[in-house]
Amino acid sequence: MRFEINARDGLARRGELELDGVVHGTPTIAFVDTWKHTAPKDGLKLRQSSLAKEGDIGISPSGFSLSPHEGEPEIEVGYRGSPFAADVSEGGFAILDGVSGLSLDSRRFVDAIEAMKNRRLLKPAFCPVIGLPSRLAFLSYCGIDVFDSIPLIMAAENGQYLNSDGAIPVDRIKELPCECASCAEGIADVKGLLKHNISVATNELRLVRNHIALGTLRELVESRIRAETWQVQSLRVLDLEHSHLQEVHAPIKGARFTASSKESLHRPDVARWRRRLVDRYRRPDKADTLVLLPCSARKPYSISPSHRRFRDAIFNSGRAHAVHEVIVTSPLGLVPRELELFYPARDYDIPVTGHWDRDEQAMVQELVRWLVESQRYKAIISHLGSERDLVNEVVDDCIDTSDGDPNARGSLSKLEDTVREQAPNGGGGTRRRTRAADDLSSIARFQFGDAGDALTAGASAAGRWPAMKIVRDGIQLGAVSHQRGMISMTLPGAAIVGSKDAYCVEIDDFLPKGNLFAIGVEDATDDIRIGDDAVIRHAGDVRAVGVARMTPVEMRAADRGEAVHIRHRAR
Amino acid sequence: MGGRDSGEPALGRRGRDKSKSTRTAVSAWRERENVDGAAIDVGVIVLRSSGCAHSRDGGCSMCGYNVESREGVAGHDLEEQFLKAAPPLEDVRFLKIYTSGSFLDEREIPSCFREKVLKWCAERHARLLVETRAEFVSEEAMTAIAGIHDDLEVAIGLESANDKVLKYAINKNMTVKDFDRAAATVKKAGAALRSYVLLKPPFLTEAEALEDAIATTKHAALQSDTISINPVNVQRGTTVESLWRNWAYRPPWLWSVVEVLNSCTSLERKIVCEPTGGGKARGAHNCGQCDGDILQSIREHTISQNRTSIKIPECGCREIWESVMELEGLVADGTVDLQRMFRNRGD
Repeated sequence: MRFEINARDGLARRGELELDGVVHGTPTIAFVDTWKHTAPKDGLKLRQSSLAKEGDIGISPSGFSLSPHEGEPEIEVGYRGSPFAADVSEGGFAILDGVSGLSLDSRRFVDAIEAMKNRRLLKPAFCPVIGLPSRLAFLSYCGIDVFDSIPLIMAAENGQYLNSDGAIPVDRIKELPCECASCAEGIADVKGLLKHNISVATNELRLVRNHIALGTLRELVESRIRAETWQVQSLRVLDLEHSHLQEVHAPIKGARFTASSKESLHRPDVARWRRRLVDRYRRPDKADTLVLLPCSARKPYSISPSHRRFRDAIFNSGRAHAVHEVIVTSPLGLVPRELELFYPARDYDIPVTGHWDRDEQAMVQELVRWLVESQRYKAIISHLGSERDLVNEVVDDCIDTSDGDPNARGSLSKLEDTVREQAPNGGGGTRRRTRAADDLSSIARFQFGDAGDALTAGASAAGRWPAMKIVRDGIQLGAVSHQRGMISMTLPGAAIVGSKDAYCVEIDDFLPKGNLFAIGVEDATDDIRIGDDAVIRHAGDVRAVGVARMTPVEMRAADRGEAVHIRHRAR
Repeated sequence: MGGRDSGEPALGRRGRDKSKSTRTAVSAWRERENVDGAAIDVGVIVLRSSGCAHSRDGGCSMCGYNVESREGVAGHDLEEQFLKAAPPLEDVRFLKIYTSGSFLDEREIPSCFREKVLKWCAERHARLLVETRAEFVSEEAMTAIAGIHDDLEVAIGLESANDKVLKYAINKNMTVKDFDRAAATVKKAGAALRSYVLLKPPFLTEAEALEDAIATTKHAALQSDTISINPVNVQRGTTVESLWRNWAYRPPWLWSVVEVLNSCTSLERKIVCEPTGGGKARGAHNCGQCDGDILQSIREHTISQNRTSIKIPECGCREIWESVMELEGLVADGTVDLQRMFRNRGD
């Protein structure tokens, strides 16, 4: 049996499971094949090991069975978790056990997922019995790779017509909301119902695999979990109590998303953004006049008409170099202007009504409070719209320039005048250059933590926004990639970050020729996230720099798969 | 004082004494049983003893009878319990004494009290049935009791004829060999032997449980006069109960009970089966529609001792049972109650 992960989306993965030369794309369903219910012809099958053929997942009889143990099973049943028996050896799969209890208790379910992922991350994860079509998105999101068809059969036996959003008792269906072969014929019996249930489940998994490849599974999950409270609870508990597990698997640069549910507020990438602000952020050195601005639908904000007006007003004040523009928004809370390209600041969409719910209010207020307390501004100007009251309420001596309508002509000139009054004087090209270097320092710090300070210490900025370069002593250390919204390091830049033992992948003594594969990784620092720029080195000597393709845990443990996609190699 | 306190004795259903007084039996009742071809009245007394010796080291996974026991019940307490409970049953020709433990364990049932019960029955020419774990059946003990009363039936829980089931599913702390030895000792002393067969210990699938109970019944038939098929019911405070609460255990289907009974038609032994809690969520049950009819058939089967097959009624839930029988063995880990997880919520 071989299992290879081709794409990751948080804990979810799209992979290949190969059994006796037959390859199945995961997440997938292993179809049980019994006398009463034969499995569909193609597709993975789950059979008793004594009946298993090549390419099947064989399951052993339990230790209580009177039939003799034959064949070499992929799944060893043992004594089914009896507390009176010792644990059996673990087979090729990571199996979620006690699923019936887990399906009754979200907290226990999520604990079991965490335990499974901490212990057996690289094994294909098998989730028996509970994989109803409406749960496949969420369970895949939790990192399950293989399901069985038992729920599809038992639902059919109990007259349940399954859908991706739940189930309808088949005898109460008014019209069949499906065009599968079985529904086209009109469902006549349990067999027909089962065929429909299988069709729905396989289609849903196709959808799930697509979303994983696109990096957009979370949005599908946020919609599918509405089918039952257990799923909603489980996702919420996963977000709130297992944020670390999710955060280490969430890519640093993900796909665009719509934050349209209560759960979106706690997406791992969004939660990481807020956490990182507090943990790592430091404002550009000279920018000591804070201007709080509303967000815009268009992203990056600075290309939106409203933000152009705000920026014009600030520019016209002649004090732009001293102004720190910070955008107030949900679900990210705050976006300092210099980070507006950094994921997910320009990649989210949120329904805007002007009404802020209490969770959003509390989150924004908390971050605004943190900002003004930690960043020590000389003046604070509030130029906000619907969020004005809730922000002004927590900032003691702020000057309000918007009057509730930030786009009004009067408000804009008030903003210009106020900035001119409040910000320290001075001007000219040198200041603008220094300010650009300060902005780069801020990005570097947000991206690399303390090592980011080292990367930009004494360096200056070159080039035009957004393609800014970090240059020191005539050597380019890195540049902001417009596409990724973050800094891509050069080899000299990598040497500096590497010297701080941050974002490093340790390899044996070789020069990577193509990309770096997991088998070549000796060690990797825990700060690396998928999509991060990583330094590849051997005993302190930088060998390459590139983009991480797996988590550091996987890099250390895996034998296959691309660990780092290399951009520059040492010669 | 609450309005419900009307001064009635603390008796629950079937006259069960919930006060846990050391001087009152747990319960006593009359039931019908086929004895030597005729249905007769049988007296049953459940005494509150100090409890089963095995319950102190974990107990069996399905047994919650220790809740009826109380520490420090002495011989004179038992005597008082017995003398209060026995008179109303005096005319019975068959008396069963249950202690939720072992009648032959002298720490639980002091020999002076044991002798009194035996004499009581001997004087009235009533057959006496007592229960015991196999380890307390010795030639000495058997000679002692058989010397006082010669119409004895000793009941021992074999539960399963598979040592792995005994050890890993039931935690019985007994091997099949232990049982066989005790059975032979009972027979040698001239007493009748009744064996208990457990249907569906935890951690077994429905299909495994059925297979196991049939094999166990065959094994029990080698030495037993009577075989009692006991479908597991979910008792409080047991391993089975915690599994059941997690939907990881389902008491056996009545279809399975019928299958076991129908497998016994060629056995020339008395076969009894009275599913405790039958038709209820905690006892052997089917879908709720057909339960009453099947339970009635099982009852008649036990009373009549006819060796004909129990007629299988028509019910849609048999299809579900058949699917469960096939599918449970393909569950990759643990056991699950597949019916509870997937039935229509409107059911």
